[in-house]
Parts: sequence; C-alpha cells; structure tokens
Amino acid sequence: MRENDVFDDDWSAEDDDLVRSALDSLRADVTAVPLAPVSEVKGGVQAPRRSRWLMTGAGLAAAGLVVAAVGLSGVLRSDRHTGDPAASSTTQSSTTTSSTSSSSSDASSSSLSSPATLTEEQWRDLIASSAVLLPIGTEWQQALGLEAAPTVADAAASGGLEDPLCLANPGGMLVDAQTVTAAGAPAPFASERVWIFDDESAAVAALNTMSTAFGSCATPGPKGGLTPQSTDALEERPFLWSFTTDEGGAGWVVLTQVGRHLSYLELWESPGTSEVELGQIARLSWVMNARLLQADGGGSGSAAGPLVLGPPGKVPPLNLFVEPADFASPVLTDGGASESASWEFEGSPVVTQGCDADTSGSGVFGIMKVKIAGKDASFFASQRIRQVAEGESVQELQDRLTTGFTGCTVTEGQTTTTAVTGAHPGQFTVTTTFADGTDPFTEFVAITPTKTPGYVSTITLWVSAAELNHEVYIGELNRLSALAAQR
Amino acid sequence: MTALDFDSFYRDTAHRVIHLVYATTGDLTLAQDCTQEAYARAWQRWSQVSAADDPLSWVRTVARRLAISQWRKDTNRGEAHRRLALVPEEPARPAEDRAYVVAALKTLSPQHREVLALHYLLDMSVEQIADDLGSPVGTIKARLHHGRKALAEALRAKEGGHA
Repeated sequence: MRENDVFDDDWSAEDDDLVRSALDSLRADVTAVPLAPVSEVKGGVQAPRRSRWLMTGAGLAAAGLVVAAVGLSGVLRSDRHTGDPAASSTTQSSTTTSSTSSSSSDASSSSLSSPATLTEEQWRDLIASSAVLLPIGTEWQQALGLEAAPTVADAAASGGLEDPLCLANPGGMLVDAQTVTAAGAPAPFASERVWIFDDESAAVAALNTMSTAFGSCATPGPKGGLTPQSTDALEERPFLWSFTTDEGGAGWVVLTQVGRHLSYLELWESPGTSEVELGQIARLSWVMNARLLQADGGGSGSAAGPLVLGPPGKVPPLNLFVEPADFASPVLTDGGASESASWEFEGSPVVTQGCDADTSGSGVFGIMKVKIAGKDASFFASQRIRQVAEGESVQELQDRLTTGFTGCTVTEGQTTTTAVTGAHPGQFTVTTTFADGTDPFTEFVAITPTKTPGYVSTITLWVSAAELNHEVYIGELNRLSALAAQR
Repeated sequence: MTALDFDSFYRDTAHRVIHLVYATTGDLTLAQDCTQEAYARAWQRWSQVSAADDPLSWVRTVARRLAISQWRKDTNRGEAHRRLALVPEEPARPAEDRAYVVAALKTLSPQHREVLALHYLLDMSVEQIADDLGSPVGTIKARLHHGRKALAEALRAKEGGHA
C-alpha cells in the first residue's frame, strides 16, 4: 500500500485490498467483450472525413468528388503592387517539409509589404485592432478582394470541424477553430484553426508532420492529392498547397507556424464569382503569420509566453495572462525560475478545491498553471481568465465569482473547505482540512478585473500547511494580482 | 515500428486501456468507443506515436480525454432526455457481480474516480498523477484520500445490499 507513507490515517491494508480488488474485478467485464478488429480501428476514422466531403458536396450542390491537381501559373491579376505577397510569380514548390520556423520573421519588417487592397499601415492597424490568433472577417475580405466581409464564426457552434485534410492531425492543444462563410451564403467556404504546443520544437515537428501528410496524401481527401505551391515573396515559408475541388475549382490549404503556434486554413470553395488565386491565399498566409507573430510577442523572439488551456475556440487572448516567469520569487520558487506547463484539461474552469463559483465549462475562459521550472510535481499557482458572458458586466462577473467564496464552507466526506475573506476586495484564504488529522492545505485566491475590458482574472496560490506563513503569501498574491490588473 | 507492430500493440494493450477508462467513467460502452478512437488516432500518426518513449501512455491519455469529454456531453444529453421525457439507448451493462462495483464507483466524482484508477490500475504515485493532471500534490492526496475511503464505504454498503 504505497500511500501509507503519505497518509497517517486509519486506512488499512484490508481497505486497500478491497478497493484494488474491486477495480481489478472490472477487468472481467472488459475481457468478456472481444476487441474490435484492428482493420476496423485503422479504418474507423475515415468516416468523418467522408461525411465532411459529402456534406460539403451537398451544400455546394457538387456532383461528385472527382478532383485533380491544378496548375496555377498565369492566374495572377495584373494590378498588384510590387511587394504585395500576391504580386509575386507563382511556382510549384517541391520543398514542403522544411523544418524552418517562421518565428524569426517580423511582420513589420517583412519583405512582404502592403498587399494591394490595403496599405501596409492599414494592415498593421487592422491586425493590431484585435488580439486574436486567426484572420478576422475584414482581413478575409481584404485579402480575397470580396465585396463584403465574410462571417467568421466559432466552429463549435456548428458542431466542430472535421479533421484536417489527409487526416493530418498535428496533436497539440486546439485553441481556436472557426468557419468562414461568405455574406448571404448558406454554408462555409473555408475553415481556420490554431493549435498550441509545449514548445516551439514541438510546433515545428507538427508542421513537418502535416507537410509530410499533405505530400503523400491518400484517401480520404482530394483524389488528386495536394500540390505544393509557393510564391517568391513567401519563399521562406512555402506552406501552401492547392487541390482541385469537386466542382473543378481551386481549393487551398495553408499552414503557418510561429513559436508554439501552428495554424491551418482550408478553403474548398470560392466565396465570390471567381476562383481564389494563389496571390490571394498568399495574402491570407501573410495575415495568418502576422497574427501569430502578434500573439507570440511581435516576433521579437521573446519568452515563450503562457501556455493556456481552455475550451477549443474559446480561449481568451494570451496577452491577458501574467507572464509565467513573473510568478517566480524567493517565496514561491525559492529563487528559482517558474514556467507554465501542460496538464490535462478536462473542460472544467474550476481552479480551487472548493467554493469556486466558476463551474460552467461554457463561455470563454482559459487556465494557465505555473510550476517551478524543470521540476516535476511542482505546480504552485494558476491563473484563470474568464470573459464576461453576453449581457453580463465585469462587475457582475466579479461579484459572481467572489460570492462563491464569501462565507463558504464545504464538507465532502472527511474534508472540509473553508474560505475566509482577505484584507483586499476579491481576496480569500481557502483552507481544506481533514477530519483524520492529515495536514491541511491552503489556497490564496485573488479575483481581479483586467485592464482590458470584459475579463476577470482569478489567481490561486497553492500552499501546503507545513510551509505556511499567511502574510508572506498574501504579499505574493498582492504582487501577482496587481500584475493581472495591468493586463 | 511497422504496421504489423501496430496490430500487436493494439491487441496487447487495448484491454488495459478500456479497463482504465471503464474505471474512470463507470461506463463500459464509452470506454470501448473511446479506446477504439484513441487507437485509431494513434494509427493516423503511428510513426510519431511509436517513436515516443511510451506509446501506451499516449493512447491512454487520449482515450481518457475523449471519455471525459464524451461523458460530459452524455451527461448533458441525459439531462435533456429527462427534461423531454425521452428514453436514451441502453448502455452496455456490467456483469451482475460487478454491478455493485460500478454503482459504488458512480457515487464518486469523476475527479476522484480518475485519481483512483490512475493510482490503483496504473500504479502511479501521487506525484506522478499531480504532474499528469497539473494539480498540486496536496489536491491529489486529498482526492485519493477521500476517494478511496468513499469507495470502500460504498463498496461495503453495496456489497451488503448485494449479498
């Protein structure tokens, strides 16, 4: 019984055997049912892809799934400015699996100067106007030269997205997924999504994995496969592919990787009267890159930034979170560095043992958990950013979250959790005790609106009783909540 | 590893993964479905997964995540069924002499079940579970501490009623 050295309680070997044998007994139910044939396992994931194609085909009144590679030379418009990513000559690229990261590229100094539809300054202003990871409707409009901005909508609302083409799933954490629908159209013509990885090397590896998959794409996917494309201006990141749609038109795939982010765009129908051209897709690629650069700290090559988990497509902008390195202090990390790290997100926004009123997995929220750098099992803090719900004010959200802790006492079996209001508004000390004398543990909580309107931060410090000095930890909580309030 | 190795890997390990997910959710059908989906995803990227230090850990994690996500959706769907007075499909049921074990497990929260399954079926330490789930060691200790006591009590109560 390995935990007897941890718990000095009345847990007996007999109890332990009872629990272990009960859990072991479930094995009989498991082995009573034969495994699915391995061929079924290997083939089982093809169904969603087929259904997506059929669904899309039906939505577009498509006659079939016959596709073929398309040659794109000569399709560029003649009115583009020099320096526009859409103005460069087109080639078919044969190098699609380079491990070159685009994270060192800087949108503001890129050789890709202003696309024709907007000046460079206008593009910069447009990208800076919102802290999102993927192109917004206006950017789609300007990049593709559309008369009206398409609707970019959370893909979760439409039941989520199918796997990327060629089942090229990159792993990582999906942080945003959207459909793009032309004004007045009944169905989307494109989708876009972005994943985050533990580190840049993992994102680069995922980029290469997807590139390789596109290069040797078997069914399910376009029958003619994907054809790598490039432009002179995008030579350093030639992650563009074309395919022929079931109507014989041009379909496109774009990958963009910056730092720990990897975004994927898939376009399967023209949103206007003419086919989408390489130059237009190149603009979108440029915007995708600029958006990720902005999220990654402007492409300055700065710290990796926070690793934030939350519901797909509903994670707040990462710049609202306190830098993970700022959690480090002599008190919290014994002078060592701190870092955000991955953990298993299971959909719940709850970050404290009890009394947390934020229990709904719906809405926009993200959680960052912080540990001592390089040390296992050392998580000591978290920050949750919650966006106000529709029709809710920041004050109402703040009140809702603080009310949960105010006067809270929760007893669950032999554990009792009690929250005590702190000296500052929104601060609480939450202590969990055990009836059998097991050491209690304490959580220090600070609920703070962010400077950016519409969000409330909840910072939690986890401390074991053996090392507890309230004043010291409340001081740390004040420091961190002040940083959160500046975001 | 080769394609043949995937076949062996699947046949040798899939029951263990189903067992873990079954203990975590108390739902055998869900465990079977999510395990199959996890192996299907592993097959999609087998060159990567097979090169990992512990391919089984990858599959296990994916299966548990799928199950917890699906379990949450099913809970919501079940609530909708109740509100609309609809009758949901019958899930696979445990054998009679394990029914009380499943019933006892379902008296625990998903978080408690998960920690118990990881600890007792995978022999993971408190520290390993804390690292895996991104929780403080104290939280995992509390869940294990409370969960196993609650399960032992529920087992004894249901065992008495079952006998």
